[in-house]
Amino acid sequence: MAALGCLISLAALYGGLGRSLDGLNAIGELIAPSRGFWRHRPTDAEDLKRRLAVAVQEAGLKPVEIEIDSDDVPHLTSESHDALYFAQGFVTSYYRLWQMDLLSRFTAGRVAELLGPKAIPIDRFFRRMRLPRAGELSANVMMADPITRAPIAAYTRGVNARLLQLDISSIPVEYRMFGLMPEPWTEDRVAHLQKFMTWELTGNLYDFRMTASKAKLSQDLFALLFPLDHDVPGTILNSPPKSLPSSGLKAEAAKGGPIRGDDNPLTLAKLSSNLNGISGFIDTPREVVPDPANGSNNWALPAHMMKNKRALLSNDLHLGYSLPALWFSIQLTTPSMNVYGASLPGAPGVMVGFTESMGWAVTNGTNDVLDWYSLRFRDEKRQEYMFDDSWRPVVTREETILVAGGKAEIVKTRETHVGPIVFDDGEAAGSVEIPAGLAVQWIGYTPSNSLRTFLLLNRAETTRDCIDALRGYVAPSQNFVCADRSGKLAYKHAGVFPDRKQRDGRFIYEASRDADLWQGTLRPEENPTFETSTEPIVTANQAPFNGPTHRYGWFFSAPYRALQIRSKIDSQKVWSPAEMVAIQADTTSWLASAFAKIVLREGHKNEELKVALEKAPCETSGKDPSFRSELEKWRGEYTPESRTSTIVHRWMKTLEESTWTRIVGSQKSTFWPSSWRFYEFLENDPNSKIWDNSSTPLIETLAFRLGESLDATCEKLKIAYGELGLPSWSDDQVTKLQHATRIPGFGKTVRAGGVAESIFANKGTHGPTWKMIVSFEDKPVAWAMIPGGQSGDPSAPGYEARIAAWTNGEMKPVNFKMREPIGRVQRRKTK
Amino acid sequence: MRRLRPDTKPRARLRIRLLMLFEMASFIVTALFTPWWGTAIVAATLRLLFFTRVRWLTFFALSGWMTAALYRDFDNLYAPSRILTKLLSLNQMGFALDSPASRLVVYSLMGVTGVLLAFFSASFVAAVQRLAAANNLEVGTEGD
Repeated sequence: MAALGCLISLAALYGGLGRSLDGLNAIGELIAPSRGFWRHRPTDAEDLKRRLAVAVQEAGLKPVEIEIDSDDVPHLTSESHDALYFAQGFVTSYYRLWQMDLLSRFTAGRVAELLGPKAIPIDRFFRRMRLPRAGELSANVMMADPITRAPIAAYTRGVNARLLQLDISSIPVEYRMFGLMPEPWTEDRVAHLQKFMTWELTGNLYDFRMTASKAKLSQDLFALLFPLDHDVPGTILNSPPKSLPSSGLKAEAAKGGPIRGDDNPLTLAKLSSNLNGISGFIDTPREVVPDPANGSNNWALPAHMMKNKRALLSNDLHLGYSLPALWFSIQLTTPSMNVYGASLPGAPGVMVGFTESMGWAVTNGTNDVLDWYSLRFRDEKRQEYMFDDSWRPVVTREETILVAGGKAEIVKTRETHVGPIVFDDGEAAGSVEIPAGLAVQWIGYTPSNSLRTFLLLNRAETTRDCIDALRGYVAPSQNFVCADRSGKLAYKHAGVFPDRKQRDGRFIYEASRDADLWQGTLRPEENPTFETSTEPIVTANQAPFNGPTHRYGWFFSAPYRALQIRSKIDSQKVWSPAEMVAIQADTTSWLASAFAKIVLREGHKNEELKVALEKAPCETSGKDPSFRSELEKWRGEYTPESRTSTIVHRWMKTLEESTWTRIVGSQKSTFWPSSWRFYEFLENDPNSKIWDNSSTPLIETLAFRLGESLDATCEKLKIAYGELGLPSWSDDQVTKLQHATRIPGFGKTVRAGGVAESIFANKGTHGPTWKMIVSFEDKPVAWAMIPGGQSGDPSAPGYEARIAAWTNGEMKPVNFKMREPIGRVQRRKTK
Repeated sequence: MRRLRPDTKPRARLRIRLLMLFEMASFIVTALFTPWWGTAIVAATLRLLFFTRVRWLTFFALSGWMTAALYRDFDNLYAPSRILTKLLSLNQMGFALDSPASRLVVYSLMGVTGVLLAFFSASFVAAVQRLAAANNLEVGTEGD
């Protein structure tokens, strides 16, 4: 009996320590002092220097000097570009190997090879989207281009040199956890990173929901709620570029009156009939749906607005948070190049930054470059579709997804000449993001080489060089803002955009002939461009200009951040560069501030609202001041401690949600009018029909809806927090910097302010991932910040460095090293 | 292993102490250089060869895993204990990262793993030995 008990215990022990669970390595392997975590050494600057010197020597390259500053930023200097990019690959993989391996696997459809069965839906999605093939094609373009070929090859060799040095003490923790070894780095990884970023910034899946909204609403109501090319304040340029591409809709605009856009997109009934029996929608993995808030801020101030009389450039990139941070700060110096900035782990060069005399900053263009099409299939097998009056075959391929700790999975990809059919019926159900059976056209399929642009920018000296470098840039479309030492500023809405002729791209269309598809692309040289040395430039994902912008897109961000930046920089005549740090940290929401004023304006019009405003906010305590006085004092600042922010934010969301749900439908199945359109109704039309519910005898107005939604908000807060009372903003919007693979314990939760609409656009899991301010003095004076340390090793003391400073809105002075002493540069230039 | 009693002869006393030292060293070396199941095998072997009591084996295994963890942690600049502190969320339970308390908790947890491994494997062998004795079979070389 005792033996049996012990046998069972032994088996349990083996089961507990010896078995792999959920793709992870066996716990026994991880905790045994002979291996696993106990053999792990943290990344260390001195160790890196020693190892790099050995690797460079073994590779037979020219020497590379490496200096690592107090913020762990490596400054690499070499006489040879090959040696420099080799060192960049080595250094980046020393700190960020797991992150770069993971990020470059998404669009290759190979995440399950690292993370196991849980990642199969991600791989299936990207393979069905045919992104591995798109990556391959772009890799060919990159390796055929002399500007990018050598840097990619050198960078790849650098990463592989690091891989050769890996031993039991230096394998990144994550590989230990998953019981894997990194595989040799290949040149196509750079192309996959480019595709990943392109997908993240342009993979917007709105067409189906927009088609559903159109089907639900009357023509007039749709035109009222979704006006196309609607004038908004705060656009990047005041007026359309002179060379605006012509279109039928532009002509319509010229005649005056509202532009209605396409009145005859595919109806839902027709769509259903074309799909030939397909009924469901596919459950899109959350991880593959880009965050609609992926965006950024950048602005440039002319010399006359600065106390030091030098142009200034500012940028912060809003993307999903992760630990380690998405970006890796680095300085790269050769005799012909000296650049500092944010590099993307896995790619050579610097993506956003500055040289000795010029800097560039980017924000997402927020353009519509993806369309879904319905094809008429011959039968339920959907192996042929009608196009140009003949049946064409759907090409089906089988691909194998390798799975760590699981069985390989076969995935079928289906492709038409229009584009891939991403999902078929019956595979999964539940989401509306990817309608089953439709084919997709996306600019990301264009074989392209955006790395070329960035490597040219790394050597640029003037804003003219910057604009020149943007020639041939395809995707992801971006608002590039450049500034240089001579005081010139430049802006370009860069990218390639589809030419849809008469269509505006908002809906799903039927494709049965070529005229139904994109008719080539717009001429990139006609994209909005602006050069100045006297006016500030501000971009924050808003529309590039007022007027017929639909050729570029129709879901540009509302201009709240742009208006706030404008109001800040207009509040003072001249600025010092250091004062820009405070602007970058601004947590004021232009929208919330305006909303508070609207509430106070409407307060007396509705009895319930009036009573609620005279009491403490959500009746928290009789001792608290009235909600009205709180709102009068509040300026829309989303500070971590603010409780007013919590109520106002939830109140706005509740009002917006209840309004559009009533009129348009659930956000899961329909697309809602833009936030700016909603604001316009709030500000200008308190008696609009959108506030009224026609099925009730009452005529409801904005004041009524405000009172109703405040009640609902307070009720929700009571349910969520109960006895705890009204939460502060940072308790309500918890800011989490999660580990890149979401490993619990390797992330960090902080108390930060900010909201999506503020300059410090913190959304809790998304926000400023790279902040930069540069003043172009003889030697650039700059500040930068990433949320987290340089090292991606959770055991390294610097892993969480800078998080506290980032949370407080601080930025660190950049230790930029000039190639030559400033005096010598000036003497050389004056000769 | 015989018990140390007041009347144990000095020679036997020395032999027992040397054996204890040997067993403890075996557990430390095993924890440092073999996979996790090495401790179970060593515990079972020592029980089988020297009839060492299970309580002693578990104590030696505890010291073996704790010493090995301590050594590895020093050798690797405290990265291991930092990782485990984070993974076990000890830093969210009031044990600050890199504090002596958090390290002690982590080493202790390692020791407990060694104890479990040694206890179950040695108990298993002890049970087999008892079964064998009950059936007049010879197992091992020395009685306790």
